[in-house]
Amino acid sequence: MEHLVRMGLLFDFYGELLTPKQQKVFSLYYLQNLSLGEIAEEEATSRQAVHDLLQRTEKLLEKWEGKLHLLDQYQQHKRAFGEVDRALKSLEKQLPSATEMETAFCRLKKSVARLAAELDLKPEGEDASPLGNEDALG
Amino acid sequence: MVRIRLTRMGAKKRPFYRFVVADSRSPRDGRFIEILGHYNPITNPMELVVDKEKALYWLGQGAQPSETVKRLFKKAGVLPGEEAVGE
Repeated sequence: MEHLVRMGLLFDFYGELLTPKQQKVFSLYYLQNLSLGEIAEEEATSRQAVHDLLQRTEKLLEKWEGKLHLLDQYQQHKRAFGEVDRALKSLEKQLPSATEMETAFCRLKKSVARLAAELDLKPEGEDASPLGNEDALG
Repeated sequence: MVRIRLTRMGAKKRPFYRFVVADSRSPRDGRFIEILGHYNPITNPMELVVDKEKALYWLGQGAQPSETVKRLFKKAGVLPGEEAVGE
C-alpha cells in the first residue's frame, strides 16, 4: 500500500487522538499533499520543524496501531465480509422463490447487512469511485 | 507556482484521491484549476486513471508534481520510468 494511503487510513482511525496542530500539519501533508516547504510557509515555521513534527506524528500513529490494530482488524473484517457477501449473492441466484428457504435467506441477508453497517463495512469491489462526489474530506 | 497534487476525497476509511492542478499560493481553500484523474487504492485491482494529454500539457507548462504524483504518473505511464499498472 502507498505510504500516503496507509497514513491517511491511520489518520481516519486515530486522528482525533492527535493535538490540533498535529492534525492540521498531518492533514495538509497527507490529505492535501502539500510539500514540506509549503506547510512551513503556511505555519510560519521551518521546513525542518514540519518534517520533525510529521515524523513524530507518524510514529505515534504506528505505535497506536501496533497496540490496538484497528486498521488491521478493519481490513480483515472487510475481506471476510467480502467473502460472505459473494457467497450470499451466488446462493441467491440458485434459490427457488416463495419458499421457507427464501424467508430464512432474507433474514440471513438482513443480519449480514446489519453487521456490515455496525462494522462500517462494504464488500470489496463495491468501493466504487465516488465520481462526481464533491464532498472533500475535512 | 502551479502544482499537481493528489488530494484526498471521499469518506473516512474509504480513501479516494484526485489528481488536481492547483496554484501553490492558495493551498488551503482546496480550489483547483483542473482535475487530471483519480486514484482509488482500495479497489482490487486499484484504479488509476489519468488524462495523459492534460497531464502532459500541465507538466509542459512547468507545473510541479508532488513526489507521490510523480510516482503514480510513472505507474500510469504518463511519465517514463516504471511499468504501467496491471502488467
